[in-house]
Amino acid sequence: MKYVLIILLLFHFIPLHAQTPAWLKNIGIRQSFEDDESSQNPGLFTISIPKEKRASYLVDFGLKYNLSAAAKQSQSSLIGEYHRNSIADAPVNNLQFGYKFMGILKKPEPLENVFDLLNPDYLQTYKTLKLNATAKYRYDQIEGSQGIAATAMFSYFQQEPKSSVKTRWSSWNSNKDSNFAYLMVPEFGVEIQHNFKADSTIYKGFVGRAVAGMQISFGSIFPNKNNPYVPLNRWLLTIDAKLRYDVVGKEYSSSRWHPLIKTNLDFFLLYSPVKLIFGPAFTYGDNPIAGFRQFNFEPQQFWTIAFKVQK
Amino acid sequence: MKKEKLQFPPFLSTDSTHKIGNVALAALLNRVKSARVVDGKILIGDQELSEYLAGQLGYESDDHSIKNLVKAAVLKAGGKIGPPQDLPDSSKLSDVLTTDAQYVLLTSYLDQVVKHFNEKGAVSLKEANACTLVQDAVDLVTGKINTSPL
Repeated sequence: MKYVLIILLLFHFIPLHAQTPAWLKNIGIRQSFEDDESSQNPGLFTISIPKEKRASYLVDFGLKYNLSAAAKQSQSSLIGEYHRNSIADAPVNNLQFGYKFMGILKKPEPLENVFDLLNPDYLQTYKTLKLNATAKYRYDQIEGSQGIAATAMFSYFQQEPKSSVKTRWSSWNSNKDSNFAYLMVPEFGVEIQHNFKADSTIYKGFVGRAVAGMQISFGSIFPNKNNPYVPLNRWLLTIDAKLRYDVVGKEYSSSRWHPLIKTNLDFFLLYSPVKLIFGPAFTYGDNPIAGFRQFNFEPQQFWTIAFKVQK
Repeated sequence: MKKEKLQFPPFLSTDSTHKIGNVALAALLNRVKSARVVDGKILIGDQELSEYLAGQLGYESDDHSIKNLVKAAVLKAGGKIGPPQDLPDSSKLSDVLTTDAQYVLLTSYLDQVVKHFNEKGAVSLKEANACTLVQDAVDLVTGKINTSPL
């Protein structure tokens, strides 16, 4: 097990004002764009280059550019991801780029009267499934493999007035005293991977997987004097758990099961002029498409401790 | 079917406020009965009927401005309740809306607000996604309404 201290800038929270060029407003940055984007998942980019030793890397960086469309319920994007990790037991050096489609399966009901929005107590009931689908070219330098990967992940959104439902899905909940908030995002779907070229036959061929997961975030909050609708966090724990199973095709590793658990515990130290956040993160498991693979036939695990600066 | 451009007064918008609304409406109708025609214009006191009604229905007040409608749309899309006036113009949309489904709700609301004032106007998800601040969304809607051919 290895430890590394990281100073991290959360790029995607830097506000882009009205004067910003339109093309820049359509850019998004996350660690990955495969799944639901409800929880925080900022891009991670650290490189250490010592004079005498080999450089070390921890890069989980995804870039998205929204394409033009007049649609009201869907968004097409070009995406690229780069994953590189030399602090875990098995190294990662993985590049992906391709296309993403996000679609909301159920259209919101039209308002009876648009001025209902001005009623402070009004809240519309909205329940829907959401689809995140990607199709990507994939290159993995460690495996020496090239191929395609595609994912289709569904998540569930539910938001209603508190009088009619106790739990929201994919939308933040808070308790009666408004000092504790939590978010739950269920996901399920499929992914396929076909490596048409690889240095070893182990990594060559087709595999289809079933995927199920849950993202949970919860933590302590308190009122924000500057904005009553955006409370401030004291601390926040985020757990993103996924389980993949090789249903059809070959196995790239010793097991058909691929668990992946990512946890982050954030303590908020400063809120102005920038947010300063400190906390550990723990990763366990494997993710074949991203090149995060088993080591000695066991899931990998590693800790990081990070200072994060958020504007 | 062509949608009529009707603006209902806020006090007629929900069941919970109907009782107060009915009293206010009765008083308003009673005043309208006193209207008289002078030189082809319908006057109530010294005001034209259309100006009088607009003032009474609060269309020009800040509470029912486009800005507050957009702020209310942002709050409702984010699942939050409360007066829209309290949402700062400089709030980041990503602080209030945390998932794509909420941006789809916001797009639907903004589209309906724009269409209410300009039938040919429309707001896409891409345009809503490109808004960073609440003020950006206000500018987007105001711009779409102001391009009305009327």
